[in-house]
Amino acid sequence: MPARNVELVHISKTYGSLTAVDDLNMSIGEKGFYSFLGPSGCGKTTLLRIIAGFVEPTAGKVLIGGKDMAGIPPNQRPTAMIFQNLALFPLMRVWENVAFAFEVRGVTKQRRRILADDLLNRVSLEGVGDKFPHELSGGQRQRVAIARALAVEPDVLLLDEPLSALDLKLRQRMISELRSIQKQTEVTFIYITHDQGEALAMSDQVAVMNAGQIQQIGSPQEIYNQPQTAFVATFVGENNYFRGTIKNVSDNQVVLATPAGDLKGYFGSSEMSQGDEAWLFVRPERCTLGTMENPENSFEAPIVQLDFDGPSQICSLQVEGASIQVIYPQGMHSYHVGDRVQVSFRTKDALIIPPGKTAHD
Amino acid sequence: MNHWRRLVMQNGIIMALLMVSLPAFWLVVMIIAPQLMMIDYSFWHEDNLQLASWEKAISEKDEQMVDLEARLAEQQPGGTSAGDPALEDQYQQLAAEVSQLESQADQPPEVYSLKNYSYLAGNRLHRSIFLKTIWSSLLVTVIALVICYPVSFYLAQIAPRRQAAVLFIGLIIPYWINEILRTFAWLMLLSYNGFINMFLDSVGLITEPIEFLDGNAGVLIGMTYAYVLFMVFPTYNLLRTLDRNQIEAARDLGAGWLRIHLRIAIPHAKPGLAVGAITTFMLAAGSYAVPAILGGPNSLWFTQIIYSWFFDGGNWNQGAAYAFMLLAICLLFVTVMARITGVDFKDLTKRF
Repeated sequence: MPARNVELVHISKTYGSLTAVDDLNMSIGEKGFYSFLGPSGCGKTTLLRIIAGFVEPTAGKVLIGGKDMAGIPPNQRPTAMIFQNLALFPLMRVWENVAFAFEVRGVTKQRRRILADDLLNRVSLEGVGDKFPHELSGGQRQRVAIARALAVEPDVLLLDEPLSALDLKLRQRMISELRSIQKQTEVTFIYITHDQGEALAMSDQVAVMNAGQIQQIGSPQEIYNQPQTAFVATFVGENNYFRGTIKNVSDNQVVLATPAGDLKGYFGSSEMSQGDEAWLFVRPERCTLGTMENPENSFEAPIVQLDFDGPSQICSLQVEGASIQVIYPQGMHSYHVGDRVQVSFRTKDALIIPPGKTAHD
Repeated sequence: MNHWRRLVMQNGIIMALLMVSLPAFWLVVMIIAPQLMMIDYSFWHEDNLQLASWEKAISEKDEQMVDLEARLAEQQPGGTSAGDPALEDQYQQLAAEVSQLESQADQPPEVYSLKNYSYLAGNRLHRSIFLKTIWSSLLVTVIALVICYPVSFYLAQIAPRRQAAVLFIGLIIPYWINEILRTFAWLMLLSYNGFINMFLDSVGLITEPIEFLDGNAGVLIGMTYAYVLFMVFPTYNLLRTLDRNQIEAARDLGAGWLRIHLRIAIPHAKPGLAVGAITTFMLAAGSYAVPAILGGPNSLWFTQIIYSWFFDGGNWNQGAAYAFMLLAICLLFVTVMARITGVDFKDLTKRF
């Protein structure tokens, strides 16, 4: 069994005055689905191309299976890449696309065809070998690209937002298919995306990136429930936040003085002390509307907008200095725009994080 | 009708009329009509035997008329009253016959035959020049392909944008100078006492100047230079559209540079290369100035023979047949090229 872990050690890449990747360290284990999640321009694609060998890092090194990859060209690395636009060869038939790696290795044509059909079966694409890529649907092309990459028997498969061109339904189906292909092949998948839905749904580990640096690494649950920075809290999922000053710290429970009144929450990864500026984050689905007995935290606000979102209703409220959203199941309330309602949330659902760059900045 | 209405709606009536009438004029007046006329010319010749017999008849009748005049004058020394009416009639008839023959001889009869073509087939010198022209044009095309592809690939895929722009200007500017001047520049470079010989002599590589212009070398060099850009443009255009990810994907799958070119880049550029090859071949086969300037007496080009039929020999029919043969071979070349490279010209129009 080859070692399939990837170590990124102090990787930096600058283009002139622009820093794409900034002293990044990460350890990617074996047999897993790893995602780099970040907004466009955060350096995630550069990072992927550094791992693939298309880009030389300005500083730092990449170790794959413990071996330093410096100076090793892409075709000699145990990686295979799936490009954002898939980069299928349009003038070759599907089976020739899949068999390209075998062709390079000098496998006979007859054998190539057998191997290609075998790979096509593995991605459940029987009987399309003789077609041309443009004759296939988006999802089928996707699978051809995966089969073509698997032909080199990579230890690490690098995927550069390959689902971004698909429509929503197909994307959802491909997400589960990618997941099962990863499980079945036991190849380490490194997936780049700006779509948090994809990252959260597929990954064992997610690394949230911004401005060339990793903001947080963790399981999808950790990333969503315990964001460590303001950026992660606002980039992954929707989040309400209140700016304030810490009034009182006791037993990890923190009281924050905000324009909406005193609100209580818990510290995330970093602890602060009284008088510090801090932000309180609470998810829209963790807030409830309507009068409650002894709420842990509550304030009153007018409804400024109501949006229909299929199963749920998104209610926007205007609070002094902030705009708050609350999500509740369709039909649970019958409010109208302009109604003044009470918003409340539990202290355990509120996270207190030091101020920082948000995803909206 | 619908197309026309759309054209008018999008461009206005004046533009629409121009857009339709200019190509139509160009097609009919500049291409179809002259070509048809030339094809017609190539299939007939003036019947010289008939002409000679008419001319002989005219001179015979002239003599008879002189004779008759003499006899009439004898009968009537005074010449005041009418002479023998029979003789008079005979004279009038002869005069009419002569004038009719003369008008016929002014427009000699056109005899339709393959004589003009069989003349080319039968003339060993012309035949060999014809074949040599085709062969040399093929050679020019191949040399141009070998030069064009790396240049186009470099410009389209490797050169940084700024550098590519500078290189492009460098390639285009010489083409602002007309072909004859550019060819003369090559004459200065390649001639017996030219720059290249001077240079080679001064660095001691040669003791005797090389006769570049004696054989075909000068013509091949000059033509390749004159026409290679017509191949670079379409090839460059297509290679620009080659997604760099495809090259990287191939590289990632283990392909070396040769395979990347053979399997990815060249197939992608093929329609451009084919268009370029066709253009270059056509231009080379139809070139007049380059062989006239750079060619020696041993490297006559077929176009020079066509020229001499039209303007030195005054035999347009023979010239037309020769020109048509050249055109036919060029069209054959286009068809064969398209077949060999598998380029579908309908598909090509979609790409541009």
